[in-house]
Amino acid sequence: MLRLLVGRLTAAVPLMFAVATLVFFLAQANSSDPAGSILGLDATEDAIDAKRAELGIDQPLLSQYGDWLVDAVQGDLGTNWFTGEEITTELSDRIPVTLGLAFGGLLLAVVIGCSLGVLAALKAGRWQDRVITVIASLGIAVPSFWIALLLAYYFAIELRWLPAVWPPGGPDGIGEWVEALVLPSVALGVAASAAIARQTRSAMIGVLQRDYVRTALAKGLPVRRVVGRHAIRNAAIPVVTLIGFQVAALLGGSLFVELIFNIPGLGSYGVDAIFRGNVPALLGFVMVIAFVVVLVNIALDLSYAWLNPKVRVRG
Amino acid sequence: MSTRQRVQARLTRNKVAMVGGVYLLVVVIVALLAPLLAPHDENLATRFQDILFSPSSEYWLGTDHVGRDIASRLMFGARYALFAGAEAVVVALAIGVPLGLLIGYFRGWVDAVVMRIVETVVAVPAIVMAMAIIAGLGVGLTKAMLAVGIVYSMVITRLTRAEVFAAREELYVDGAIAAGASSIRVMFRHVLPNVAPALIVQTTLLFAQAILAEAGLSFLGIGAGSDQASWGRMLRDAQLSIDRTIWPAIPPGLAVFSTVVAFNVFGDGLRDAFAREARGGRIGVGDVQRREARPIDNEGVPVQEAGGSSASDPVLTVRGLSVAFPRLGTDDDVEVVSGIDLDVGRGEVVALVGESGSGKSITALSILGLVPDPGQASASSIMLDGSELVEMPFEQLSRIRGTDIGVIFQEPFAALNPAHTVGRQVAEPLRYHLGMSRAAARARTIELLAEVGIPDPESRIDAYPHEFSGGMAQRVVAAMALACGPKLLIADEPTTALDVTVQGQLLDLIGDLARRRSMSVLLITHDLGVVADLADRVAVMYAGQVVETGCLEDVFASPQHPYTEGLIRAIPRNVSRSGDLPTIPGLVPSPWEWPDHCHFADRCEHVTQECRSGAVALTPSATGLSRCVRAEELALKGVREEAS
Amino acid sequence: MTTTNGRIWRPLVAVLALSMMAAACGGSDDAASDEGGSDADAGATESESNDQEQAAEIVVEAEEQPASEEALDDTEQADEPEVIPPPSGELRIAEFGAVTSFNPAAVNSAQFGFLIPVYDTLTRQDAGLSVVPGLATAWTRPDPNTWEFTVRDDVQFHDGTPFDAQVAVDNIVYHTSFEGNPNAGAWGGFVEARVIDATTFQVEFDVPKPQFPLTMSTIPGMMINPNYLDGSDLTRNPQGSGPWMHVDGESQAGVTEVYVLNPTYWNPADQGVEQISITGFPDNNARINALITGEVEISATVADTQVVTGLDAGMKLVSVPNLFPFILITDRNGELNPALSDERVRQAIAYSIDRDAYNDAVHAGRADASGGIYPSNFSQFHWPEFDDLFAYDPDRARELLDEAGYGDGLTITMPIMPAIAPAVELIVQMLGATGINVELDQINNGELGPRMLSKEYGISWLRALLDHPVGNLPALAIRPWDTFQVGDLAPVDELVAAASVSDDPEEARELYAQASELLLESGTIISLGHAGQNAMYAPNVDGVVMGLGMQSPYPHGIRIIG
Repeated sequence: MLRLLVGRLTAAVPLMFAVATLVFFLAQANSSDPAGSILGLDATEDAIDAKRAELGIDQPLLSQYGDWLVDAVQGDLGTNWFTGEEITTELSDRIPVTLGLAFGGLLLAVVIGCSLGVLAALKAGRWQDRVITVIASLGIAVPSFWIALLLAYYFAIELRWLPAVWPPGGPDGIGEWVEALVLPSVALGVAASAAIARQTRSAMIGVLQRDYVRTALAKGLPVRRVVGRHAIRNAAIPVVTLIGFQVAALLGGSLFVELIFNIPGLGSYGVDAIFRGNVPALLGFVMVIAFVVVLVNIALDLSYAWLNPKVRVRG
Repeated sequence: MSTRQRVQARLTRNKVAMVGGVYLLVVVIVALLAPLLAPHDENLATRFQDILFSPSSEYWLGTDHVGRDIASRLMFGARYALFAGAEAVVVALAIGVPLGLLIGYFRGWVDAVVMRIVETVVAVPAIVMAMAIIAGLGVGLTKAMLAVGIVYSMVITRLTRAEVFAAREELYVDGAIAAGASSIRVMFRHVLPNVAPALIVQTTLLFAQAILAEAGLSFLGIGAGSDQASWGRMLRDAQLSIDRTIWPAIPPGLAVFSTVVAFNVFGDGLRDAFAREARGGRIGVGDVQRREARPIDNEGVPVQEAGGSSASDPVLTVRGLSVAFPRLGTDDDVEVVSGIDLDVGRGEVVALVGESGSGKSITALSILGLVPDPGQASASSIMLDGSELVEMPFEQLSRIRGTDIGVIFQEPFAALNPAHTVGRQVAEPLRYHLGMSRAAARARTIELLAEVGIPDPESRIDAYPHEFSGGMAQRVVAAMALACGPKLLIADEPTTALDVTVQGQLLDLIGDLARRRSMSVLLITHDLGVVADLADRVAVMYAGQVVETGCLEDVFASPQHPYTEGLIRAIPRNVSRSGDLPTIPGLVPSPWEWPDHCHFADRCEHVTQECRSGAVALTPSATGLSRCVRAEELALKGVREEAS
Repeated sequence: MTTTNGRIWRPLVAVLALSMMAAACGGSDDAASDEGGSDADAGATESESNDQEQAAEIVVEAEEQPASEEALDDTEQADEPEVIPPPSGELRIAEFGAVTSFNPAAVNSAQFGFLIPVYDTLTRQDAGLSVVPGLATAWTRPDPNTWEFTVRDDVQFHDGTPFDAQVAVDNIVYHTSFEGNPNAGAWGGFVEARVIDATTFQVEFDVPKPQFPLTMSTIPGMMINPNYLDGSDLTRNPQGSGPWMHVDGESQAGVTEVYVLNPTYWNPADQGVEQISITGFPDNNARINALITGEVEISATVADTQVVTGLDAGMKLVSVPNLFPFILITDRNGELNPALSDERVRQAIAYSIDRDAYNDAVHAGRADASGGIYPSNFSQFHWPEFDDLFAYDPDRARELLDEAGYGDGLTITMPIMPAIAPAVELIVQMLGATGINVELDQINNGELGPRMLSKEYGISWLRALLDHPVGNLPALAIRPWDTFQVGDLAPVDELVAAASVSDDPEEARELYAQASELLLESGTIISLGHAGQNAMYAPNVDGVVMGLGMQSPYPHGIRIIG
């Protein structure tokens, strides 16, 4: 098992670089000139040329890529063209924030989604199921930024129950963290919880029709035990797969939510980098994102092994 | 009905999906007719001084921050939404399908390379990847949706590839190869139709996702431009004026939301329509309801297995058991089991015999109170050793199920939970019903496993079901059934899924267990050979009814119902014969095709007018009971006669 | 997420407000100090209580010698009138973006807010937008092209290095020779800086620079620790003498900058708070929301449309009314679009603009919708006859188009970037109503200036910061904006040059008016009104002063009460 883990982690590294390479060449196709934007309107031709040389963007593409690659494999992701700060520092400051946000959204999504999904499955065909199915179908259709706008407007500005923006300088203490994360997590988690509810429902229904559930009932066990001990573990596998997809979706959705709530996380970093043509920052950003997604997938695979003994024995 | 007609039928019956479909149609119509329907221009304000007006008769949904009519823009926005979704989906299919087909078929290094690229793209969240592509291509709606389409094509590639792999396994593809058809033709003609349903469903859902993506990218400002009234763009505009009024954010948000919902429910409906497996079904707990014992025949003779040929000390008596299911697409119910009476004496093995479709398994499940939803069972009485099971509260019934009745189902691996060890599953009723401690239960489990003939039970107790062979697994199931010392063992086709060589062993085991524990057995089977091995008495079922009962020897020697005769005649025997293997001509009628008269009439070689005149009651016969009006006059051939 | 303020005007400020390109002008000695700023009326703001506060503020700052002609040779220092309470609390500021560099020679005025806590400027501005002493106590003009400054002798940099005239001279040399200095225009015509004695130095230009003392109150006037003028990288390492010191360890680049008290600062009265944190809020709504919900004390760059929201929530406003949005038509020889070479077409565009509607939509009615270049609160340079110039007249616009041969309609191309989208979109509507179809070209924030300068577009929305016509008028349309080299505005240069050497203020005013008339009547500059640069602050914040060329107030003297 450990060997598998190490193997997967090492395989993640080439993947991250592959992603970065892809993005590098994509970003080059853009014609805007960051040197001009950095220096501002009044910069002279010479100043712009000097800046371009400093940034290294006057070099041929492949050599730019080569330089970046050589540094990156040694852990140096370069300097942010616009702030002058080390990109690794900037990223490491932002990672906990986005992870907190994604985790909040995921927690909400899993707790609400699974509970509703199981309930809907147990009451399949009855009104509870219909209501939950309808709500879930609506939930996956909601754009996360629309919800974020509305939530910020009603709960933060109108009602003043919760902060409208991330506390400047960062939240102090658990209380402030939680407060600051509530609205963004809800905005982020709505769609995910709906998707998880749907998948849980369908997985549970499938499992409940299985013979071993019938056997368990034939053994005279009460429904709650049958569901809790026998059904859920087996229904978990497709749900866990879906949770993996949802994490990627949550990271994507965090872009919007971070912008609206002014959260200094990875998402707003990436958007800013893309808009300004800040190539090294953009590369660092996609690498981190790719890595997080890979980690999540590895965690998922580990949980498969725990859930499904057939995999365990073989693996 | 062709597949397409069936799918269409299922789809149209799904009300929610149809509502979604109609809504989409409305969106399409609005999009097409926008220039005619819209009261104002899409991009030019009628009066640019009319800024952020509330809804009025002139501006149905108010105006935006530069005086443009929101309602008109919303209508034109439908065009952009559909265009955006269509572009993304078309790009995704155009790239994904051919690519998936190619790599799925040819595999090898091409597959490896492409799948690595797919994984790379998929490693990054879709919106991020799309934004990175847009960073290169430039902003604008067309380019943005192209980027989205490229990202979605990865999903389509994987889907297509997986379907191709599955299809490769199918024999006809191999057959097509063997027959010399060219590879391309093989792919398109054989694989594509299989891929189509999944692709159609996925496309619909991706369309919805694409609309959401457009909204998001335009909201960020890298999608639709200022002169394109897409819903996402409208949301972006609304954000500019959100501090003055939130209203402009509402209509476009709702438009996106409702359209996406419509696509999703329609797509779900498509998926359900294509799906072949059974849908729905609560956890299968169905209590048996009481019904009055009713007269069955026109002679007014109530049906009673009046002591008759059953044992004097019945463990199980069933009277008037019927099971009905609602008929799909109608409001009626259909009876699948009709008026069953059954007795099982103490220590007796009763075989309930019939073809598949006769209703014998449902009968057994009904006794357990486990008729799957939406079926409904009713009986006038089901007595288990003195306890009336009909309308018994669920907890009580559970207890009886656990301790007094044991069940062996047909598929051992399906019956066992693959995630738990066998020891845990056998011990579960011991711990739950009998309250045994873990150690005691473990010890008892080992004993039970030994009793059912599993070698080396001390180590096998911790094994998982998939580590057993079929026969051994079924023994485990038996152990589970016996754990609490039941009075009645119901065995539903216990050997059907096993190898022939193992079948006999299992039957011997059941017989042993029955004798050793003085346990009654209700054996459900279609195999008369099995019956001959094990049963004391036999009840023959046909088309939802018991048609004959009696002792084993009697029924075999001189059957009292033409169906029984037919069954016996059809048993392959090691006797030299000439001609075709005798079978019963015709097919078992489906429950909704049951006539009001004798169910067997259309297949019976002894049929007369009287047989079709009305319902036939189960009446005493020479050897037991029979549901044939001509039982007394017919001298039906049994086994013994052949042997001589 | 987008704003009418924002990224566009940062570089614009550099060019238009402070890139007073060479050529022109001297100024009369009499006009010296006055020209440095508009008169006190310009300090007029919406909120009356604001005026009281600012008046009160002037009392505290009265220790500094006002730079009047007569007082130039006295350096009387007022006694400290009362005991100054110790600094307390943290001042949290919400800015539009993040700091790009802490090197004053490398940034444009948009970064002012980030640098002013740590760097002292030679001069400062007061609430009346007049130039008052900073590090320099007095300044005179020995000859029209030369300024002589007298500086304090009690100033230390954060590492203890003393400040003196030599340091000032070294700084000026550094600023003027720094490669890629966005404020190079402000130094246009620089000849030499020389030390006279330990507290006196002179700066010589080859043209009169009457606004030089004002310029020295902004980024070009920031004094850097001489130990770091050797090519050290100051990007994340500010080395100044200001009331606060930057703490890199507590800051997060691109997000928040943190500053703590400088214990050895030469003017403790400026230090009302112990700590300052400045956080970037790119989203406009988030920035004002942060103020309303109490997450910050000051919100910078507040759009007029959001000011109402802020005021309704009980926040206060400080506004510097020198924003001038306009449409600039550079393609007057028709290179990109022949239609624009016809003056009638340009005038038709001008008549299509409804400044009142623009004011309502873009500035929530808070702006001054007059048609000239200077609004009424620049009383010295305001020309009332221009107020109604090209007043909204769509019929006249159509007439002119018809005359010019475009009666069937006309298509022009304009750039649009997210930061200015609402303004440009409204212009599209206005022009559309008279038959001019505008095709929009989407570009990224920050690209407007460079692209206009490289002749990709011949007409665009732009915005200037006004202070003095000597610098403003040529900068609006000639340097660097005569991109198509039309040369038709040469008379503007001549008029401005004549005005800047005139001794008679009325005569100068008349000449400036003629220059403006040329710019406006030719349809080169189409006024969209005049607005204020706004910052808003919480009601418990005292002592808020904002000057020309700033988007957030001076932290100096701010106290948090209660």
